[in-house]
Amino acid sequence: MNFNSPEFAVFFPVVLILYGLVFHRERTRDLFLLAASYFFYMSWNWMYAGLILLSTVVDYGVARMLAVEQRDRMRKVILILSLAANLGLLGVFKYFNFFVDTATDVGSLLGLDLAFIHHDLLLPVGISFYTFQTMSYTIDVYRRSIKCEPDFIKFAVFVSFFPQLVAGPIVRAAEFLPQLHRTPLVSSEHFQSGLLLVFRGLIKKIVIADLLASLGVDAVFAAPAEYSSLTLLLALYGYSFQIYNDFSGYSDIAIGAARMMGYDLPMNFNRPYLATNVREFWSRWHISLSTWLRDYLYIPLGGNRGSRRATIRNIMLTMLLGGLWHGAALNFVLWGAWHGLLLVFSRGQSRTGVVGSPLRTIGARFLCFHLIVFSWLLFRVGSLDTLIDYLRGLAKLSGGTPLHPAFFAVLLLAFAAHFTPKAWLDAQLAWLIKLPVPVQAAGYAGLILAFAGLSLGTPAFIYFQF
Amino acid sequence: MTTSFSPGLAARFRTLRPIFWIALFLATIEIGLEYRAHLRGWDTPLFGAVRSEHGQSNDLEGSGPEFGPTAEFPFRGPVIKGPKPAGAFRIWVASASHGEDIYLPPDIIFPTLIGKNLQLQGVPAQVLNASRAGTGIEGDLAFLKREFDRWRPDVVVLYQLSLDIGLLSRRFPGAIKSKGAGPKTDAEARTPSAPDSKPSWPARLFKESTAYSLLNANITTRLSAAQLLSDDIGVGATDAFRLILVDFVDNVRALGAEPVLCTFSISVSPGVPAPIPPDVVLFVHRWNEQLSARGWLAAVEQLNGVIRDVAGEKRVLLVDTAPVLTGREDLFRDPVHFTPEGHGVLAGMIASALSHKAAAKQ
Repeated sequence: MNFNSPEFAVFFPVVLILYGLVFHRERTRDLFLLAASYFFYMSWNWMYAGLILLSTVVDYGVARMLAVEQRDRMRKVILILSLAANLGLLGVFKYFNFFVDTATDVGSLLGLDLAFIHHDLLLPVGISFYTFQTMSYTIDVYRRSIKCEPDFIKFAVFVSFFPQLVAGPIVRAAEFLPQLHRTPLVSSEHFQSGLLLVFRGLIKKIVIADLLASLGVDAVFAAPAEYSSLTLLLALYGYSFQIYNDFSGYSDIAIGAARMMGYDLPMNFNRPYLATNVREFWSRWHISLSTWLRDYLYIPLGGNRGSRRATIRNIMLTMLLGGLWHGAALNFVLWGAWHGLLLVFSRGQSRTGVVGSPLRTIGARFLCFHLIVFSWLLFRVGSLDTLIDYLRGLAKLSGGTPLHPAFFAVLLLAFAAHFTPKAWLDAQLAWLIKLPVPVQAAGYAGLILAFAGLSLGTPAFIYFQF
Repeated sequence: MTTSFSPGLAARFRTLRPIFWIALFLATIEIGLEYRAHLRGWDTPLFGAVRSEHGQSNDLEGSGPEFGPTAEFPFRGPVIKGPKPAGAFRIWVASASHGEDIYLPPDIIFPTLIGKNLQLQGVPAQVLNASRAGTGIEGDLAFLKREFDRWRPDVVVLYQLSLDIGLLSRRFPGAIKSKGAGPKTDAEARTPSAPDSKPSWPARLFKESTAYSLLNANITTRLSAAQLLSDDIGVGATDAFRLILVDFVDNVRALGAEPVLCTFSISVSPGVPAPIPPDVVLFVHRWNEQLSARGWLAAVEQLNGVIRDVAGEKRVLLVDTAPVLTGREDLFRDPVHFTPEGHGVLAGMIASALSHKAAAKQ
């Protein structure tokens, strides 16, 4: 059940209406949210529910044990067991075949046939997101930075809350669990601003991301050798805006949907292509993952507290694992390594985006944008051969493009939406919320019809596979 | 006034007003469009099937109550009652909207005209027009298997292609440039929105709405045409088409009838110099999101070649309509549907080929 599907268009209003009936009774509300979340998740595959339940039970139990256990050594053992269980789940479903295939290749060099070990396991949607969420909870309880949640149902809602279950933002327990303990207050302004966010997300997904993919990006990446350098470059820009709008669109819908029910989710994107260096980019892109990696991987590894060499090692390791988090494939490893290198070289640069004169700022943004655009090439290609074809094609410096003017129109829209001053945009959105409800609704109804017309199928969100 | 979920039930539902308003607007638009469509004689989910209530478009001029489909006779053509008479030559016509053609009276569409033509030649022909819009070859075969024992046709004439091109190109996206490998495709394969999965009721409801049909025809089709699409249906799809065709022939023979294959004709010659007329491009993209208009024209020619090959290999009677009809704009009202004159010419060709079969049976 994608957010951009007719199923969700039925599911979510029904949930909202029923939620309106039950929300003031705490236990009923929790049970209702849990049931709705599991229903949502099981719409992909009912068997997935077992995994998320297992992850919930393990981390709930482990946190309870950590809360009563005082011996440091024993607490560490318990934590390691929890991490092993979570990473084991992730390993089996996400990385098993990657390692088996690698072992098979090595084995074939030694004359061993290991291909029989390969299993066609279905990757459960969103497993990386909820696994990281439960792991951070257990680690926080271990660190005594939060108390363990005694209520299993509330904890299960925290793990499975449907708006952000499948592709984030990765929510910290300290941010979300306290919200489950108080009655959510949804004012009409709150509700309408949430609805506006949902529609903003849908515009990003359906009007920008999906159209960029359909009108050019997918075709060019499928056969890069057939296209001119100009087309390859345009498709690369297209993909850069596609992935941003796809993922941030999902986050907007998640945050908006949660807000309509009275819950606040953290911001996940802050116009990342305005960054003047890669450090700043990572404070604007997939914020919930980058802060997770910082707090639970980079800093525990030693962060920048050791020698220069140790810091570089920690950065590279964090980014390589960040790349692998997206999937067990060489291109994600390359993508992580590229970002690691960029971060190493941008050490000491400001995270605030101030680099001096306006001209220098524009220059820094231009350079940073293109370094990131190149990273998306590594991210998007399916194989090393495609990458080589793509790079060769770019190096030809040939012109001419078969891309339709509609592609350029959408790319221009994406560019304008991203680089429009935030204050101006926020003022427009605030003005929209103040319009009479029927006027707002008429606009939304028009948008729904436009989505129906502009939609060439209902492609899943890119980050669903991670 | 600020309302919130907290005070009481009424206030809570006031907060939900935007949702109710959106639903109201959408319902009003849909009902309005459905009513407009209903007045124009189209089927709509809310106002029902105008045509089928009266035996499809049998209320059109030139037809009468003796035409199906009826509850007892699920074919669009002259109703046949009672058991099969001795010596009768029964022809099952398997096609899609080309043969069903609900926009014309049933007595002037090619399946009915095949029967009339043969009867004029003294052949006691009875036609079972099993053509149904939206059905491909595999669907035709399933229908035939279901109904065969009841109707016992002697020959089964297959006139199908355009729909199968759409179905095959969706089934073999690997051959299509825009649907190449990549994260999106990978993710799609793991979700219920994958092309082969059965649509849910909200998806069906959405796609059956009149608003969606209009938007699809006027916006989605144009967007489809703006994609970088493939000019080649691909080997996988071609091979699959061959297998479908061979399976059709083998199954028809196993049931006890003789298959007859026809090549598929279109209003535009595949070799038409660029640019392809815009109305053809739009029509092609209305039913196909995978192939470019040129690719679609090429696929018709390529798969017609497969039809000829299979007919030759399996020793099946072939009615090679394409060299005669393709490019004859006067015989088509759009790229694949015939004018009354086109129906007549096609029926004449098929009847002429079948007369030998009928004579052999006599």
